[in-house]
Amino acid sequence: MLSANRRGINPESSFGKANRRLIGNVFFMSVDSCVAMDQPSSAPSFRLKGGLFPLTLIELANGDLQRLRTDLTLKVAEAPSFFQQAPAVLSLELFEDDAQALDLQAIQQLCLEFGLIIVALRGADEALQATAKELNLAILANSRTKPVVALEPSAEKEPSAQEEPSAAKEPSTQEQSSAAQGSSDDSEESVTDDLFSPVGAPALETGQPATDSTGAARSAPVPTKVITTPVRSGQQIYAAGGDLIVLAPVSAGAELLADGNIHVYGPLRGRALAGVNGNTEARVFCQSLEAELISIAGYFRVNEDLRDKHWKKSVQASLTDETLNIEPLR
Amino acid sequence: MAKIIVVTSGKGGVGKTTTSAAISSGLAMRGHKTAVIDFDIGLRNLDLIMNCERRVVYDFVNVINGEATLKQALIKDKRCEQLYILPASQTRDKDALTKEGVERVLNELIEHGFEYIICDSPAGIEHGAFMALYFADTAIVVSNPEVSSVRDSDRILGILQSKSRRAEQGLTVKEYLLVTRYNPGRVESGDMLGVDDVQEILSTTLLGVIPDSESVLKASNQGLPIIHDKESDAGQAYADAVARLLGEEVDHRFLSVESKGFFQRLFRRSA
Ligand SMILES: Nc1ncnc2c1ncn2[C@@H]1O[C@H](COP(=O)(O)OP(=O)(O)O)[C@@H](O)[C@H]1O
Ligand SMILES: [Mg+2]
Repeated sequence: MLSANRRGINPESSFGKANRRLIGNVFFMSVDSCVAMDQPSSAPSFRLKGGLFPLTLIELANGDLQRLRTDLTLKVAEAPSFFQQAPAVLSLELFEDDAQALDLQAIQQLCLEFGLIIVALRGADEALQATAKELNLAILANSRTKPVVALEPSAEKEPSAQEEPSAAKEPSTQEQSSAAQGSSDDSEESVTDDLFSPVGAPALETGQPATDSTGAARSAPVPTKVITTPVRSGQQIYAAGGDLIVLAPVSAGAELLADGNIHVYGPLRGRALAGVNGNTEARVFCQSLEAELISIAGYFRVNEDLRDKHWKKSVQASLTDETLNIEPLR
Repeated sequence: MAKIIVVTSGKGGVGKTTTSAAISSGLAMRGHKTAVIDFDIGLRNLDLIMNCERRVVYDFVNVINGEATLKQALIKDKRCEQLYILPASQTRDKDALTKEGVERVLNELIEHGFEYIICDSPAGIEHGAFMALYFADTAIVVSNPEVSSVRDSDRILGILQSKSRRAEQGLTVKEYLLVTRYNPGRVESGDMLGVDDVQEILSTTLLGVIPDSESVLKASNQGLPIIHDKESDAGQAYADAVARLLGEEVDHRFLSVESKGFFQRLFRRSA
């Protein structure tokens, strides 16, 4: 029998710190896949699972190491708890200098000094990718380029929420959220501030996603993502750093993710994962609860636990002491 | 302005080809110059339903590859003056369809003065289906009144509105739902989803409801698009759908067991 509340893999737990201040997040999404082995008799030695982890994105504006050191020093003073062996992605998408002259290893070392572990590189040209390989860095696809038109085979898609305890952190599809027709944001990832931004803006800015519970100074509010057209099966919409409002039905097989709250003014038949960065204060509101799964900060309930007296009613879901509560809206 | 209409569904065997044949014939019967393209490369059967399989020389892929001109490959329908069929290749694989190639053929059809271009999509959501829907400005999503078909239609609607050319341009694709193989008796006994349920799940415009009818099978075996069978309820329902597509307001028929269509069928069967 399924218990009413289960704990999904909390992305924060991999960092051991619940109130980490995030600068900008990148989410990696993938589908479960088992390793196929040739020998039928032996069980696979491991299982591949998709994960959904917040990562810091460092968007480097220039190759000035001295300036980077100064900026990092300032940043550490501002939010020391952030820089504790935190994994980070180095992005060169906003890089303005000659990338050929970039000393990748020096940057890696420098970041390490400040507790930031560069795990991957994004937006690099071929030459730099080769260097990255030598440094054992993963290469990530450029965020600006849209995924090629490859449509996934339907077999790949499975509503695993019913059986998979960790499902709450594993979006069931790889399709990127260009589904968000109502929004101009065509990337699943959105960076909430200008880290290491080009000249003019302060080089380091404090991120302030909804997860922020440190009470430190907040900068401008993150815009709410508003979707006005139906969210269909297989679509995934992620509101990075803020709230998500959907003014249309959300189909079974669709997935909503937000660092903040989720509001659905229509039937919610798919999955809704609020506070995906670990924000336990986040809530889910919907006009008609018909969801496959509702999750807040990794605590979730699946469809069969939701089919009670509140089914098809207007409700809100909130978290108290690791328990996901559903109560009617009046 | 020429209209590119994709007939799609996600799921196979729901009635896309039957619908493509009926709708394209219906539009041509109403005086519109229409082309219907079979995108189901490797599994062609539109030409069978249109009864032109023995006249196929060149196909869609030949045109894309420049091995034949569009004019050489287009087959003129025997029944409708204004209708042309562009058959699929039986031998190639789906990758023969390229975005550039498909676009070129569509543009050429528009230049030739075609008002409607109907794209009969293969099942699934892979390359062939994507190619069929990518350039569409209107979509007829065919769904049978059962949960898995409706779910696939929902998925296709999502893909249409996020991956098509119009979506990339920040525009929407006009969407229509066509419920086919509808059996009011089975809806009443609870074996089948009602049209209201389907519409509630998909929340989109209903183009029509085509009853499940033996006449469809009979017609397709004869190579006759069902819309030519003016006696059959399915043929009439398709004619209504064409009228709605052309902007006319027509009441939906054949939705309940009491409807004329059902009794006619009973009557005809016993007669
Ligand atoms: N309204 C209908 N009533 C009865 N049979 C139908 C109806 N529509 C389609 N069919 C039958 O269903 C089968 C699949 O139809 P088809 O149009 O080839 O589907 P698709 O192109 O979606 O694979 C065919 O045998 C066809 O005759
Ligand atoms: Mg077909």
